[in-house]
Amino acid sequence: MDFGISLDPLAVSQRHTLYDSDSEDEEDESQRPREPADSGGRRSSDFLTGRTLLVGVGSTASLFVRSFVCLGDAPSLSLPAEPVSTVARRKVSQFVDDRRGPPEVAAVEFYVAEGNGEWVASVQPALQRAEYSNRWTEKVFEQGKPSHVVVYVCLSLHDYFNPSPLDEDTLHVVRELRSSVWPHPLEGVALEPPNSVKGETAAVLTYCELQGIPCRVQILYASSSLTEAEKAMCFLPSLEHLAKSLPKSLSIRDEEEGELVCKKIQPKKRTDLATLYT
Amino acid sequence: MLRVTVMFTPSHTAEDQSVSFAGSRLILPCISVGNVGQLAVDLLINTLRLPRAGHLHHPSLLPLAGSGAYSHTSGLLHTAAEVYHSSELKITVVQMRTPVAKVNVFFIRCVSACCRLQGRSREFCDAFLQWVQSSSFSDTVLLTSSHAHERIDSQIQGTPLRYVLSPSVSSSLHSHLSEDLDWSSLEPRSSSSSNTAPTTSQETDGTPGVLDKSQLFFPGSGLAKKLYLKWSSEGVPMVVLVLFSYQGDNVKEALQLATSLDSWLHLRDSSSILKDKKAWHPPPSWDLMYGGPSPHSLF
Repeated sequence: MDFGISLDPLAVSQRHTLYDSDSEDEEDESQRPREPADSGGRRSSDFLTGRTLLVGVGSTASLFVRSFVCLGDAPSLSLPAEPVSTVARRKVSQFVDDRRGPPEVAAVEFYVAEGNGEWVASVQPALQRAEYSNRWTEKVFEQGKPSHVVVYVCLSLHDYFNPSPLDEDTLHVVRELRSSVWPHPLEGVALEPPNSVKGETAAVLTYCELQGIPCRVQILYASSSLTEAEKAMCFLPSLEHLAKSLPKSLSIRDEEEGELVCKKIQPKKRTDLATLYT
Repeated sequence: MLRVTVMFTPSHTAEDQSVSFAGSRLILPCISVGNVGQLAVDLLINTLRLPRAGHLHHPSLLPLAGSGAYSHTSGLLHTAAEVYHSSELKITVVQMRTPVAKVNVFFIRCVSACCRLQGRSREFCDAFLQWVQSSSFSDTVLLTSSHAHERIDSQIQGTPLRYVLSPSVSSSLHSHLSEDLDWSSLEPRSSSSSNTAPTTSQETDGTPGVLDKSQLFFPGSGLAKKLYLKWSSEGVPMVVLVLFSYQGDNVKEALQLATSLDSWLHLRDSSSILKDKKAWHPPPSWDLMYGGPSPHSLF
C-alpha cells in the first residue's frame, strides 16, 4: 500500500514517528501547545459565509489565482500573523538561535474578487510543515462557512504515479479530487491511487468533507522545465469551466492579459548569481 | 487545558447514517515498522468489502487525501483516518494512513534538555480512548509490528507473531490463543537488557499474557505501547498482535498478520459476500507500491 504519508518511499523524514514508543516522552501538561477544540460554533466572523472560496496553495497556484482572477488591490481581510504554536515558539526562541529564517506564521489573507463580491480568494504561497496544516485550515474556516471551495495546487511531475509511462513530451498532468457533496459531475480525470495530496490541500479537503462543504481540488503535476507562468496557465481551462458551472459570476482575465500579470508579479530570478563565480 | 476528542463523522455516502458500533470488535493498526498493520487492514477492508462508516479526525493527525483506495470504494474520497464497519461480521476497522504530528522534531532534540517540548501522541491516545469508550466496542485488536533485528534468541526461532493482552481480557482467551492457535505471548523484557534472555515469568499479577510497562519492549511499533498502557489502565479489553519484521517489501508480513487474525476471528468464513474464503484481495492502492514503470527515455 502506498496510500498514506508514511508509506511514501521518499518520506524518510516521517520515520521518526516509528520511534514514538521508544522515546517515552513525559509531557508537561502546562507546556503543551494549546489547540482549539472544535471550530464549530467558534467562528470569529462570517466573512466567508455563503461565498465561493478559491484557495491557491503553493507559489504556482497562488500566482495563478492572483494573475487570472480579478482581485482587489489589497487584501480585504488579513488575519494576524500569529505563530501557530505560540508556546512552542517562545520556548524554542529562548534556547535556539533561529538560523532557519523567521518563525513560521499562519497568516491568512483574503482577497475579494471584483464584481458582486461573491468570490473570495486566499493565497498561501509558502507551504507550511504538515504539522501546522490543520491549524492553518481552522484559521481559514473560522471566518465562516463558504458555499463552495476550490483549491489549486501544483506538484512536481516526478511525484505523479501513473500506471503507464508518460510520454516524453508530457510536461504536465491535471488531476482532480472532490468532496462527496460536490454538486457537479467530474470534469477532468480523478486522481488515481496511490497518488494523494498532503499538507494544506489535504487539510482543506478533509475539513470540507467532514463539514459537508462542496470542495474540489485541481492538482497540477508539472515538469520543472516549465516556467511559473506556464504552469499557472495550465489551471486556466478548469477555472473558466468552474466559473461557468457555478451560478455566481467571476471576473477572469483572458489568457494574454493574465499571462502579462503573471510575469509581472511572479518572483524575480536572483540577479546576484552572475557574479558568484567571478 | 482544552480537551480535543477524536471526531467521528459519518460518511456522506453511507447508507445508514446512524451506524452503531456497540458490541462490535474494533480492529486498528499502528503506524509501525514496514507499515505491516496498515497493510493488513488494507487486506481486511478490501477482501471483506467492508463499507465505510465515516471518518475520524483529530488535529494531531497529519492530513492526507486521495481517492479509490479500495476496489469497492472507487470514486470515494479517502482521508487520513477512516472507519469501516460490518454489522454482519460485528467488526469495526479503523484505517490510519498518517502518523500523529510532532510539534517540532528538529527543535525538540535541540532543547529537550532544557525544556520539555513533546509530541502530541499522548493527547491523541487520550482522545482516541474517549471515542473508543463512547462507542462501546466489545474489545479491541491492535495490529502492529516491531523491529526484527531487535529480537532475542527465543524470538528468532518459530513464528514471528506475538500477542499481548490487557488485564481486562478473559483468561480463556489466553488459553485459546496459546493452545488452540499455538501463538506465543510477547516475552517480558526491559529495554535496558535488550539482548538478555527474557525473565522466566511471563505474568503480571498472575494474569498470563499481560505485561506491565517495565516488561513491554517492542521497538518500532509506533503508538502501540502508549495505547496499550493507557487503554489497559482504563479497563479497555485489548489484544495487541505484534509481528517482527524488517523495513522493505512487507506484503508477505501483511498477509501473515491478516491470515493470523483471520485464523482467530474467522472473518472470511463468516462473510456472506465472499466466495473464495481462502484468498486475500490486495487493493488497487498496492498496484504502484514501488513506483510506476520505468520511463521510455531511460533506454
